[in-house]
Amino acid sequence: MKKIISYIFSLSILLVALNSCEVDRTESVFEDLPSVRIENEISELRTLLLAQSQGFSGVYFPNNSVVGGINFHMNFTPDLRVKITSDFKNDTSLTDTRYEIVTGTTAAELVFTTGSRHITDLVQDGAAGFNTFFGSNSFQYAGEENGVITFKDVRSDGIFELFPSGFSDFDTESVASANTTYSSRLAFTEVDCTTASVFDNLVMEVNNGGEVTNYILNYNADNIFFDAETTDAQGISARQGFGVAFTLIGGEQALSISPSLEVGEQSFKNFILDLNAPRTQYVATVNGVTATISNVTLASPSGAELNNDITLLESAFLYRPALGSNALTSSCFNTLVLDQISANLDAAFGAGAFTFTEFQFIFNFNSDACDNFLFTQITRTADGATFNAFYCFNRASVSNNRLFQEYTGPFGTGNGPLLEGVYAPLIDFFNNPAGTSSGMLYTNEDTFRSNTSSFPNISGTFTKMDNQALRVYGLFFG
Amino acid sequence: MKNIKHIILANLVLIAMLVSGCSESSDTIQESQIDTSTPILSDLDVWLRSNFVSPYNIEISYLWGASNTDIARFLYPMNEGGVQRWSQTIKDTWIEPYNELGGDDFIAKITPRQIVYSGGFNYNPNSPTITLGIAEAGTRITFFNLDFLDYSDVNSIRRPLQTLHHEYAHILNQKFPFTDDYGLITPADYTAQWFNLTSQQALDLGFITPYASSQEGEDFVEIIATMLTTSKADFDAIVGSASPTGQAIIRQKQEIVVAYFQENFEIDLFELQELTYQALLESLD
Repeated sequence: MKKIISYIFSLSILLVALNSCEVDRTESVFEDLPSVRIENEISELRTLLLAQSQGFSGVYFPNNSVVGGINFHMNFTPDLRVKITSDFKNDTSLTDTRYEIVTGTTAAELVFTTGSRHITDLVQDGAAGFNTFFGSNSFQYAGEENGVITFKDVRSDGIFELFPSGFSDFDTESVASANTTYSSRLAFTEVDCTTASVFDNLVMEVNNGGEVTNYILNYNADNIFFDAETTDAQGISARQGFGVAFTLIGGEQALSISPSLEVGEQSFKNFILDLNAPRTQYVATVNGVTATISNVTLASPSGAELNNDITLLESAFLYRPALGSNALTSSCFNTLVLDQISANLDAAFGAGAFTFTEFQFIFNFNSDACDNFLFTQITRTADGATFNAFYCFNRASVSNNRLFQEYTGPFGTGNGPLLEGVYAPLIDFFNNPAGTSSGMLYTNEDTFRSNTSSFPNISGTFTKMDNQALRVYGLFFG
Repeated sequence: MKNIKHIILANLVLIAMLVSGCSESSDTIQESQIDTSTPILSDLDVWLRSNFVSPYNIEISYLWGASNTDIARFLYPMNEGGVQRWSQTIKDTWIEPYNELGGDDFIAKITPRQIVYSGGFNYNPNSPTITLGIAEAGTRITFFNLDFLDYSDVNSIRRPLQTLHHEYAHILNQKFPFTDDYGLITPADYTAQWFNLTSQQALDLGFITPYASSQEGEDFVEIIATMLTTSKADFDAIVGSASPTGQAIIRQKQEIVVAYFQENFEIDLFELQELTYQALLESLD
């Protein structure tokens, strides 16, 4: 018995021994330890960054689901300093700050370790308080291909691609390039009031051999971002966001979007500025398919609301700058009417002596005895005293969903005649005689809202149809 | 007996096989994965080493990436150009006054080991507040919004110094806790909604600042921080603007704070106040 137990014991030991010697057949995915791989990446990245004596250029999209891209130019030196410029703001002068290439969680990281405003303004806008562009100062090295070094932003997953700048004098050419792209961005929202229309809309049209897909683009200049909406043949709408970057591609002014627009099998990313187009237009051509971003004048609303809101119009329509601004008041109305009145006041009474504080239009559809009139008010800076003036129109009328009325002259003998020339742009805006003009388009905009206020009062817009650049938004009261 | 010998022999052989048979690894001690190379030091780094690292064993951390902070918050390092002046300011207004009264190695013995400089604001999510500074485990103090220092404005410099004295007082409290009696003075008035109090409301309740009303530990260090960033006359004026009840409470708390410094560190807090305030004034343009 003892013998059997001893044999069983020995056999057990043997089994344990054999089992413990099992060869580990786990396959190694990587040849080196993670720390060694990251060390290699650090070395590789350092070599790449220092290989370009004239630095790199590239576009950084911090978060392409919310904001657009910024052009950067960077020149790295072995003493861990980097010169940087960008086109995020109008100050494109170079900063000279520090960088490091460090061991990140899973890869080498390029870290801008001291605060270059070109980097930190994207993290948190010092000038505007906590207004982040979702940027970071740490970028994970994702690899290099055909000279393009790709990084991933460790905070927002943004993409930052750098390629050799091609400059011969980094310090001057980088700043010049940033100035050019910054100007391109501003130009995109510039409005030519001689040709503009409030019914202009940015449209991205994809033409694939006659099959056209249109995207109506709502551009947010603060975030440099497109909100695109398209409607299919069944009338079903779809929305998509694109970060936008105004950049240079092969020396040409261009607009890049991120993510790319995918239409069928085509992918559109880079649009080149068409210098021959009469209005701003960017074009991308991929495999013979063309996508165009341009301003297109869309059909104006019918204006039928006017007929329903006649009673409402007989209360006072008020525009008062102190109530805040709304984009429905067109930039050309601001420029050609409001700013011009301010300039006229300055010319008549000295710079800053008076401020244009409000106007009202009281519509009347039954009387030609100056019951349909424009009320204006200015405030004297020195003591806050207000001065009113009234301008008469014959009765208002409605025809084909348009509002008509004709200016007849100032009321009384005081401020009205005195300030008639000052107020000429506003009087002209409301002067739309039946028979000789196209009238005014009215739209009901529900309750009042501006960048600083919101009130339950009904609000609306008036557009001068003979000069469709002019539209004003205000509220009704009384 | 012979069989037992055979069995023992066989088992010994098997054990030997167990010990040696599986040893395929030829691993040896390899080169360290820790980067021990000498970093590239700028003039600023050299200055910081000789003014903070060598004498006080304090690292001034002004070079850092997003991964070194709360990644969910949009923070960034301080502008390099302001680092030396701010470092000199905290040395003059904090280290030297404490060392003068507490002994040359006072700060070296009880100190945060790392001070982090952050350029932007640390906004608190879902709260109308910003965090001015953080003290972590008594070893690290982080300053925020240092890019916005204005040396021509005493209040601009006073605010981060108040943060420094506040956070350092927490570190002192970790070494020597203050008496529990302190928390019994205004136990019912501590509130998590401290930011809803105006300065006057806080004073009338017996708190030197609204933040002091958040909890007794903050209350204690806010007395210290306010004293060490104001003159005695200014501090008395602040207290004097409180209601009579508020004044009495603040003075009662101040007495405990003053006694705490005397008993634990043999430092006259009023004397320290004179030194720190004078240094604050001298740090300005």
